[in-house]
Amino acid sequence: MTKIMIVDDEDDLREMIGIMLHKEGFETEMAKDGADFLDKIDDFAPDIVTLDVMMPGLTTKEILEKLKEKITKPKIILLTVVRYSEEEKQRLYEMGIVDYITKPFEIDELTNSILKQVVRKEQTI
Amino acid sequence: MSLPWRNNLLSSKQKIVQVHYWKKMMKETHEVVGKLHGVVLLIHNSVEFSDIIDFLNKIRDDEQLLVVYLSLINSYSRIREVLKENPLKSKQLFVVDCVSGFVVELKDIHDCVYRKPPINLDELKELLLKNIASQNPDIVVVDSMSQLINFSVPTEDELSKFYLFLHSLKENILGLSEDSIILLYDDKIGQLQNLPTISVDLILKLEVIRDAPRWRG
Repeated sequence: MTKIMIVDDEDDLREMIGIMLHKEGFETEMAKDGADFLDKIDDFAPDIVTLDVMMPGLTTKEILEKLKEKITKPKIILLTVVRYSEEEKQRLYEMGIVDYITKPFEIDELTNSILKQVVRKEQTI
Repeated sequence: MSLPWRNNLLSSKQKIVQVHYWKKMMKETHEVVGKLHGVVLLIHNSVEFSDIIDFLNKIRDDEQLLVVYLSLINSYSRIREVLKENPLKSKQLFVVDCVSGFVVELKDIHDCVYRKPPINLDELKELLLKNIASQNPDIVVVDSMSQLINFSVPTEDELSKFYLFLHSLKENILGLSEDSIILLYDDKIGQLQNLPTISVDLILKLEVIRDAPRWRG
């Protein structure tokens, strides 16, 4: 079963995404910020992480830097209200982000993005 | 405005605490927007940046004005991208970019500073004060307040803090009597139930019609 970790400081949104993804058949775990995510990642060992860009505490850049020290190497999908330029989006992909979803989003949009990553993973096995 | 039938609907414990009068002014809107001064607070992040440019171009049409745009939504790079297609006519833009630094480290330049996003209204006020003091702008735009308050279901505490923030803006930031606090929102998120009105001078609703009307001959 594909494991997904939802990292978001908004309690309601985190819970809602968790419930919806669980219904889709994914195993889920939550983290309320970057530090909590880094604490839990190697225990849960997620395949995919949905990461909110603007959270209190560690910045996205710091989280991605610290992630390099971890054993688990998940695929990262960014969830953000920020509107980036095409050049910046390209830079995000170069940093290892596999997809980028702008808030507010429909849950189908997130599910489709996750399913794309699951299919890619299965194709490479 | 209290209507007789409405009184019957109010329970004995409820009482009217505030009454607002609204006037729809379609013809006067361009005149009102054309003379705007002060701080424009966008309620929600759904307004496209190209529509913000269009709005700014309508303010005091041919005057050379400095606009400080405090962005919690659009990166400076994205702003430059949109400005190429939709130029600001007579306005100079200074950007306080609170979003790009989250992903990459960037150095301040002549028309943009990169800052961490404010995590509460006190931090937002501090950021506004600093940049108003350093730039002395004619117009300030904050995009958007929804990063700090959910206006669809705000708690009493959130609303109370927001009113204090607005009051404080009036007291500390707006020096000239003609300056005002303007709330701007669009209709993409539907009708807002808890639109703040205390310490606000003007509420503007933005309606963007993309397609040309099709007339039947």
